[in-house]
Order: sequence, then structure tokens, then C-alpha cells
Amino acid sequence: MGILSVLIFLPLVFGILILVLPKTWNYSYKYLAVAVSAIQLIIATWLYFHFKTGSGYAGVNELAQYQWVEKFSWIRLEVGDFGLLQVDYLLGVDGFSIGLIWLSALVMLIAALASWEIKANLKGYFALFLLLDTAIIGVFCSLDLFLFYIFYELMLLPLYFLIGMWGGVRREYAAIKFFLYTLFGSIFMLLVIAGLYLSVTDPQTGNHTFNLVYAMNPANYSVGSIFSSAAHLQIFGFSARAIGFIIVFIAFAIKVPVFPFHTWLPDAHVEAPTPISIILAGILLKVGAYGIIRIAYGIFPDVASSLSWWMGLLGVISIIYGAMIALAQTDLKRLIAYSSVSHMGFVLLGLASLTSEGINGAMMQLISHGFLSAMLFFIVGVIYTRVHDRDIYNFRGLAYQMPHFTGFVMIAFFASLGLPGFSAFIAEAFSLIGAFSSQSLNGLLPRWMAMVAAVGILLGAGYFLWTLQRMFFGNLRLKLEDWKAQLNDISTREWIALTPLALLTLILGIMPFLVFDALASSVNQFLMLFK
Amino acid sequence: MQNIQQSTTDILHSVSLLKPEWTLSLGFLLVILLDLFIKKSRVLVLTVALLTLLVTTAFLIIQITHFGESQLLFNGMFSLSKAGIQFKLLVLVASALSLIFFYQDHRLAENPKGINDFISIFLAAVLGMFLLISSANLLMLYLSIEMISLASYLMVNYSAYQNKQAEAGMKYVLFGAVASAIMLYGISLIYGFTGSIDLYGTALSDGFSHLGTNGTALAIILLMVGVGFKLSFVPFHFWTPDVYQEAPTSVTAFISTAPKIAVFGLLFCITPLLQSLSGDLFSQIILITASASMILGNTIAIFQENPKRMMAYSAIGHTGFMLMLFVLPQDQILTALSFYLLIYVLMNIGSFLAINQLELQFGAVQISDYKGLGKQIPFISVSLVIFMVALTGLPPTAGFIAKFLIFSSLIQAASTSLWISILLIVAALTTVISLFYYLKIPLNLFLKKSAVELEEKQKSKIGIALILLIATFILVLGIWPVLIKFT
Repeated sequence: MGILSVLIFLPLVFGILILVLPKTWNYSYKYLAVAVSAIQLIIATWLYFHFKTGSGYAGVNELAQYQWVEKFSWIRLEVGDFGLLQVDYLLGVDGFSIGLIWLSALVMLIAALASWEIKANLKGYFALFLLLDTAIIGVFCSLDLFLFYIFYELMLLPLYFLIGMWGGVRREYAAIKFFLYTLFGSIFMLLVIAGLYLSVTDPQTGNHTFNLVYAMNPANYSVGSIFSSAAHLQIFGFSARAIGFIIVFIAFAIKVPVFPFHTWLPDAHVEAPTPISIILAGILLKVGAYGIIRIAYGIFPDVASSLSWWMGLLGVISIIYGAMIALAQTDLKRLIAYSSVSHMGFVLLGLASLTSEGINGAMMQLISHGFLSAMLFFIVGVIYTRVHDRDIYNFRGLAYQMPHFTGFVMIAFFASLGLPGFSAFIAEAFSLIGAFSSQSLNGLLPRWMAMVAAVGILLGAGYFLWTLQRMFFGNLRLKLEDWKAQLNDISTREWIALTPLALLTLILGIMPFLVFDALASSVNQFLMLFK
Repeated sequence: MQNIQQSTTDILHSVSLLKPEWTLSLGFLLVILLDLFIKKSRVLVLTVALLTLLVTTAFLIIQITHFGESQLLFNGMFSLSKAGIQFKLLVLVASALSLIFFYQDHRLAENPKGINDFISIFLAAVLGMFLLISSANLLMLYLSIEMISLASYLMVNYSAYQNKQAEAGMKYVLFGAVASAIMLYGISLIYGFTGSIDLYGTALSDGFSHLGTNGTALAIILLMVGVGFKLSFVPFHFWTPDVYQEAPTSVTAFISTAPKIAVFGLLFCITPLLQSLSGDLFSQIILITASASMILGNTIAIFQENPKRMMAYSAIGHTGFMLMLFVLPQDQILTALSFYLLIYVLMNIGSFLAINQLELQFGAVQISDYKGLGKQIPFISVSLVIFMVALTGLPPTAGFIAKFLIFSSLIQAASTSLWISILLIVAALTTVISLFYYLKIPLNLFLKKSAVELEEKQKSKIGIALILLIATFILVLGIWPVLIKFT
């Protein structure tokens, strides 16, 4: 039992513990959840500080370079012509996953702290919450496609119930929409995974394998297999590898979400209770981007680079479209949800450039947006739990009413719109530099994409500053008189949750090497796939 | 003289290899006698029936562990193969679970005739399935299909006292009679064309090779009508929704699982024969019926309000899903098919048990009656959610592994055949659609709130225990599918 397994299954154990505890211990569940998330964060921090960097620890397509690798043979099933179905329990961490694991642990802790607002059916809530926690960490640690898929799908069911049972007015609709969208993508991805299994063989044993890392090496594909790049098999007149890439990309693009697959997001994010919105925006979107990097780009690099122009275009459209829609929102939560679409567009743009700057920027954006969106949704939650309303025009002059809170809001907003000194600036700047230099470096993305994307930052400043002006500045004016008594400034618990997030965005803005150092060698290794 | 002597020795030799079937016959007779001569024999009959199934299982396990070579018994009437025994074991799993279920079903328990006759019919049905799996001859095939059909007509109509129930039963009988008549016509055509009714051996395919495609197609399609009726794939599914809805829930659970295993078993055994006939004909039939079943079953299920009717359409969809396998050569089918069938049995019987339990405890017959029950009876509700998730085919349930096995068996073939690719796309899309209606049950159980607090009536502890057991099993098999080994 390695440390990664502990990290993954600790929440599950606590979840089961919560299930067997008597109902009279109701009040203790949230403390348990916070405790387990805190332990997780400690373990993740320990992992981060013991994470070795350098060219010998790059990971990506070299299994030996992954750290804390755990491998057990798990399923061995004889299946006719398919051969032996061989699934390994294979975990490992490289530069791409270490940051996201730490981010997940942090966001889960914030979400657990935000769970104070949940009042009904606590047992079910926290059990599902911790099950979700297990699935999320599992996704970032798995190096076996089958295992990855199981964790990936395992996230859906808890989320369905968490949105559907504790969500807002249209929760049923939002929950099923979210589920259907994701399943639509992932069921086709399952077909690709089966095809990959048939194509990839373990160089040591010669068996077919689900090993994600082996799948990145063209030498491991058996001759004439469906996804072998030498075989050029065609399905419906397209090359099988191109179809494989597109299917996997769409599956994860739905999760990210990339325009035009984003329509589930505003519904799910708005209807979900605050802690779940935090998880959705803070981690779930990152799972999508991580999947694109690790699986779609990692396994199909040849197709990915040939389709770069389209990927970049989708990224730019997401940036502009998300920002424009966000401008038109009057619901604060909806506004933030659409701002996520816009911000995640930078990830795709940076990635599509296939330059070192672009990919570093994309990864930085993942982490930065992770805790910034957690912070933003937490902020919405602060208002919503107090007055059960979040229409921008129902509030004015909140700065007088809640000065400390407004301070945090300003940090979050300024950081999100990409003010220098905050993490999002570094992330977006690097993504844009990557996209801009792509034309001269590898000729994949035209320059206008970077220029248009830069307009997205401007639009972002527009909706954030405008919201700040509408809600927090001016004279205090609220929709109802008695809201004034309810809108107290933030409590100690909220201080505890918001302070580290605010500090982090500053720290990473000033010392981005904290992220880049862990990434550097992995990104270089990753770029070698496209050479 | 030589000939008669030969067949006599063959028969004598065969008799000893039929122990499982003899046991079932014996149990069947014993139940009839007990019912005739002993009063209040309810518990006794249950014991005898359970023992019969148990002893049969034991014989089958002995047979399969000491299995030598596949052989034909009784002068080419009865085939004994390892795969066949495996299918028989699957039938027994479904039957044993159903048997316990029968005693939890209030409609059977309240029947003035008592349940004993019903059990004897049930044992006869199981015997019929065994014979069907082992059929090596078209006559044998027809007789055993009729045996199962007659038994299922009786079981469905056993307590049909209301008009609607009688109507559904009548539909079943009429439809079945027509289907078997058509099948008989097909069999007579085959005999007329080829002069042989042996399913094993070369006589049939040799006979067909002299015949044009049209003749072969006609004969094979007519034969498939009978099979299609029992499997209830499109377009022979019309009886399914009504019968599933109106039959006692336990009977629905039984007829939706055991006969299907038997027919799939038969189909598996004769796949090489069917595939050898006239090129792609059989594959084309499978392609069309499988995709039609998946599309129709999964889309119409969305609009159902009654859980049993919904399960009927879901069963049609699952049949289509399993049928896909039959475009592959025989040796690539077995593991995926057996695993899927086993999981299908568990999911289906589990779901019906839970549906029955909800009806028993709260009088909930429509899906909308389930509103807010999740908090009142968490264990049953969570189990039901697990069954629904497994039926959709999501991890970490065994339903996912089953689905994956079928997908992975087909994926390599998809790269060589356009039609199989389309079939796979249909399968994937209908899986997404199926989520929509399967999740209606968790939606009502947990997400919606009920307007009134429902009062709890009676409940059956054995039923609940069985539900929990099956749900656990589905989860465990989802994580360690290796627990089940198929040959």
C-alpha cells in the first residue's frame, strides 16, 4: 500500500465510517470531512515537497520516471479472441499530475469548509462528497486507462446526487443534463480505450495492456492493429487514429468545457450547492483538461499536432464567447460560470500552440483557475447563504456593509481578470506568448489567434469590474430592508477558507516557479512526443 | 439388426449422462405427487424444489469438471458440450433466484389454488430450457421451445384474475402460437430443402449449398421467428411490455432471464451452422435485429411510467446488445456472452425484487409513486440505484465490465467492417439514451420529494436480504470480475 493509495482511499474509508456512524452524530460529519481533507492536503503537500525534478524524473512517456509508482495486477480475464483482459492497478505521478493533485486536495478542503451551508440529510451528503474525493484523486493518479476510466466515471454518480439532491430550483434538470453530456462523451471514449487495448502491447510481457504510458510509444503498437500509426486503418474513410483522437478530445472537451460542448456548465454550476460548484469549477474542469493533455495529446500526438489549428480556434472561440455571455449575465453565479468557459479557453489555446511557454501557461492556468474559481464560487456562496439571492441588481454598495468580504472579492476579481502580480496573469500571459510565438516556432497557430484571445482578457476586465461597480460600490441599496441585518461580514470559518486562496494567488503570481519548476522537465518530455 | 443394437447401446450409454435432466424430471413428478397427497405441503414443496435445483447444480458441476469431449447422445438428438453445461448453470442461477422470489410474491401467495402447481410448472420449464440448450435436432428444438412456451403461458396466466392480466396472457399465448407455427413452417421448409434436421454435422449445410439464397433466407428467417419470439427482439417483441407489466413480478423476473439464457445458449451452439449458410445472411439478420432492438427498446423505455413496463423495454434493448456478439465467430463470443448473461440475470432479478418490495411495502406501482421513498427505505433504494447504474453499464458495477467485454470483443471487427462500426455506434448512443430512463428511478427515489408520507405495509425480510446480497455481488463483481471463471 503506497502513499498514493492512501491518498486515494482515505476519503472512501472515512465515507464508509460516516455511513455507519449513528444519526445522532450528525454534527460531527462535517468536521470529519474537513479533517480528512486536511490530512489529504498535508499528504499532498508532503508529496509536492518530495517531488523530484530534473530530466531523470520527467515522466510523461517513460514509466520508470514516474514517482511513487504502485503496480498490482488486478483483473485477469480470458476473453476469446480478445486475449487475456489484463488490467493493472497502476498509479504514478509526474510533473503534470503533482500540481493538480495538490490543487484537488486544497479545493476539497475549501469545499468541505463551504459545506456548512448544507443542512439536510448530512449523512448522505458527506458520504457522497468523500466518494467523489476518492474518484477525483484517483483520476489524477491512474496510469492505467481502465483504472482511469473507472475513476472518471465514478465521479459522475456522486455528482449527480450532490447536484440533484442538494441543488437549487432546477436541480433535477441540471443534474441529468450534466450526467448525459458527460456519458455521451465517455461511452465513445470507452470504445477507443478498447481499441487502444487491442493495439498496445506491454514491451516486457508481450501481453495487451491498458497501460497509458506504453500507449504513448508508437513502438508498442502491434502491427496492423486498429490504432497503429503504421497500419493506416480507415473507419468511414477517416484514419482510425484521427477518429480516436477526436472522440477522446470531445469526451474531455465536454468536461472542460470547450465551446460548443459547454451548455451543461451554466446549469450545473448554478444549480449545484456552493461546495459542489467549487468542486465543479475548481477540479472537474481540470480533469477534462488533464485528460486532453494526458490521453488525447499524449497518445495521439501525430493527430493532435495536425489538428492544432482547430484546437486553437476552439480555444479562441471559448475565450471570446464565454466572456461575451458573461457580460450579459445578471445572476452572479452564472456570470462566474461563464467566466470559467472563457478562462479554460486559454488552456486549450496554450496547449494547441505546442510550445513550452504555451503548455506551461496552460498548466499554470489550470492551477490558478482552480483555486480562483473556488474562491469566486465561495464568494457567491457567502452572499447566497445569507439572503438566498444572487441577482447582481439586487445589491448595491456592499462595500460599506461587508468591508472585509469586499476586500476578498476585490482580490478574487482582480486576480481573475489577469492583473499582474496575481497567478492568472502569469498563466494567461504565458498561454498568449505561446500562441503568439507558435507561428514562428512551429507554424501551428496563426498570430491572429493570440491577438483575438487578448481581447478576451479585456472583456474579462469588463465584466469583473462592472460587477464590482454594480454590487459593491455606490450607496448601500438592497432589494429588501431586512437583508441589511442578514448581510453580516464574513465569519471566522469563511476567513479560514478565503485567506489561503487569496494568499496563494499572490504567491503564485510573484513566485510562479513553484509551479513551473515541478513542470519543466515533464513539459519538455511532453514536447518530444510531437517532434 | 446391427443398427438397432448400435442405437440401443447408444441410448443406454446416453442415459447415464443425463443425470441433471433426470433430477429435474424427478423433482417435477415429486412436486405433483406431494401436492396431491399431502395437505399443507407449501414448505415441503419449496424444499423439494430447492433440493432439485441444488442436486442438478451438483451434477452439472461434476459433469463440467470431468468433461471429456463434446458428444451427441440419443442418436444425434441431444448434444453435450462444455459451453452448453455452462449455459445450464446460468439457467439454474436464474431459476434458483426466481424460486425464492416466487415465495415473496404476494400475487402468487394469495392465489386460491396455492403455489404448488405453479412450482411444478416451473420445474418443467427449467427442464425444457435444459433440453433446448442441448438440442441437436430441429424436432428436439421445436419440442423444447414449445415446452418452455407452454410452461411460461401457464406461469404468466397463473393468477390472471383481472381483465388486463388476462388480456396480456392471451396476447402472449396467441402471439406465441403464431410464432411457433411459423417456426414449424420454417423447420418443415428446411427439411424439405435439405432432407435433414440434424443441427450438427454437415447434412444441413450441404443441402443448403445446392439451394439459392432466397430459399435459404426464407427458411432461416422463419426459423429465427421462433427464436426471436422467445428472445423478444424486434420485431417480435410486441408481447413483452404487456406481459412483463401484468404478470406477477416474480414471474416477470423469471421469464425475462432464464428462457433468454436458454435461447442464447442454443443460438450459441448453432452459430457455426447458421454462419456457414449462404454467406452473410445470418450476420445481416443479427445486424438488423440487434440495432432495431437497441434503438426501439431504449427509446420507448423513456416514455414508460410503469417500472415493470420500463424494464420490459430495457430487456429488449439488452437483448439487442447481446445479439451484437453473434456477428463474430463462435469462439470469440462465449466469455463475453456468459458474463453478460450472468450479470443481466443478477441486475434484472435484483431490480424486479426491489420493484416488488416497493409495491409490497408502499403500494407503489408507478415510477412516480417512488417519490421521496429513498429516505424511508435507504437500503432497498440504494440497491435499486445500484441495479439501475449496472443496467446502464457504469463503473464500478459489474454491468460496466459486462458492457466493456462486449464492446472490446467487437472493436477489432469494427475496423474491418463498416456495418459493425455503425452497430457499435448505435450501441454506444443507446447506452446514453438508456441512462435517461434508468435514472428516472433514482430521480424519483432521492431527488423528488413526496407530497404525502406513505404508510408502510408488510415487508418481506428474505426479499430485502436477497436484494442486498445481489447488489453487493454486483459491486464486488464490478471490482473483481475474476471471481467468476468461464471456460
